[in-house]
Amino acid sequence: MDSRRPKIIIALTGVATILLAAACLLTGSVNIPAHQVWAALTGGELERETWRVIVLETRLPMMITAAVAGAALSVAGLLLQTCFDNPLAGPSILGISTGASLGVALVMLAFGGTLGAGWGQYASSMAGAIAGSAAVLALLLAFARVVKSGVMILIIGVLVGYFASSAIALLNFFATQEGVHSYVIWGLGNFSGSSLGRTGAFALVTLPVIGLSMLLIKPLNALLLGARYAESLGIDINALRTRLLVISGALTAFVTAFCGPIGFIGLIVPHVARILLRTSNHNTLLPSTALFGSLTGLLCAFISLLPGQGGVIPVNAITPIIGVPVIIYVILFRKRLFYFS
Amino acid sequence: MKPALHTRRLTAGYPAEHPPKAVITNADLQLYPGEVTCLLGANGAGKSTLLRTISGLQPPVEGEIFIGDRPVGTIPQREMARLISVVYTERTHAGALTVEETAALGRQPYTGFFGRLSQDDRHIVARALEAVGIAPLADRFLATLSDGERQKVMIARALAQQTPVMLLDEPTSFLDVASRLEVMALLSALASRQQKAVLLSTHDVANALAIASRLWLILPGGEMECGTPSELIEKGLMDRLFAGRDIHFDRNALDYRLSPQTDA
Repeated sequence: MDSRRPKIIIALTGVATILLAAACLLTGSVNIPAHQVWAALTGGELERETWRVIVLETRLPMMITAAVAGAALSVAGLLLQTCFDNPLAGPSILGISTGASLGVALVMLAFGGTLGAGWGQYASSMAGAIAGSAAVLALLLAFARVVKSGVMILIIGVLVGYFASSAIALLNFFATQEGVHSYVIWGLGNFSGSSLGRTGAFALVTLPVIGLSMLLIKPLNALLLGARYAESLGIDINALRTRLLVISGALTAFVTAFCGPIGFIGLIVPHVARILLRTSNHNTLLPSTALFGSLTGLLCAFISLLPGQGGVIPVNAITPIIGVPVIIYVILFRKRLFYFS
Repeated sequence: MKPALHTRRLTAGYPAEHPPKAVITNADLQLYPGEVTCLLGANGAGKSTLLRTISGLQPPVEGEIFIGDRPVGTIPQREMARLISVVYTERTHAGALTVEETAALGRQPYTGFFGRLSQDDRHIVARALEAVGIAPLADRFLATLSDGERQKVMIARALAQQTPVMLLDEPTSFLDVASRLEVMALLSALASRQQKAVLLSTHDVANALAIASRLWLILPGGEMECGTPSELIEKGLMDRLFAGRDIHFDRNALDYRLSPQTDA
């Protein structure tokens, strides 16, 4: 085995992430020359003052949101896959994003629409998302005590997701026109549409939770051998499962409240990281999954900006196009990929 | 000789149920260093329950378990991991870990918060791989190994855990004859060379009798007997192991045989 391979791949991913981040800052409905974007970021002289607002209040927040949300969802997906010993586990499949969406829907429809109007509504939709994903996680945890099979837990997660979706549909039925409209727009997924201040707040709550996940690297590696082996290595398996679900639930809730329910990223990025790095050892896998997640988030953001003056493509129209082929590849070549065998 | 592990009037089962359900009752058992002890019993007799109870993963219904002189219930889980290592039947799903990484997981009870391996830890892992004869495979992925080799990796991991007691729950049941014999011989050699107290549950009676210094028998009804194979055979206890079934213990072949059909 070539020991340089992971280092080279991680370095290349780092470079690609920086390039895509730059590309996101340079792309948009208004054409701004590169040196003027740089001047806007560094507080230099500008030909037009509106460009500063566009770069600092639209493009920079979107770039940060995409990078942080991508990393958060991917880390959540990896934790869930290891926790349930299941390659198809992920924040959306287990119903956690749907739970968070239900929480946001309750808040949004209670306000009668217009999300993003102020910090108060921002905070309350965040609270709604946390409550919603916490409720789903509590349910999953309760079921996990009784149902030992990972596949059955996955199916329960899918069912809980359907249940939450139907609750959302019922809410929409009774809601006002504007409420439904803003909820539908939010549900398409969006990395843009927030100010620099609020994006900063999002990053400030999300990044420490990603950091917390890094503290679980050692027990996560023991868990690769299965719950019973982990126990025999001195790990309190119930405490570990609770921590994993709380961290992945919090990450999913933050992202869902801020960007809408973003599918696929949490499911596919851990696989891409495993395939490229050829390991399940969380020492390298967990930090690189965060990095690959940022890259994927930025890639989706960049693609969503491509129409230029034609507007912004919803993120959830892009993630399945990248995600579905990866998942089918993983299912078809499960034997050859071997990291779950 | 002092036992590495012993039980006093141990009743094991499901203490959480009301009333608590006992699977094994009133057992006085001993496990000695340097010996392989085989745990025999019919399917569902409670072998796994007993192993879980002994390793402190579930509380006994009644009675006590001692490792050395210390009662098991008073030892924190992390410390238990330095006293008892376990190998299970089923395949793990960690195919993309290397042999060395997997064996190194056995050092977790000793390493710090992030699980970094010291130079000492690496030596211990290397020695464990040598002891089970898979050192040349150290850099291979688990997924590329045969089932027998994978089970040897799990044994190397248990060795790296450096525990006085090693429990194995039917470690050979999915292996072919060759691997099964190799693993059995390996365990017997490890027990005597490293002075480990090895307890192994198995359905392979013939091989168990060949390598075991001592047997623990779970008789129908949950009563247990503990002794050397010849003692237990002499007392006719091997015949009681499957009482009520159409088989009998053949003392010459040292294995079970179907009882001849009696014509009505």
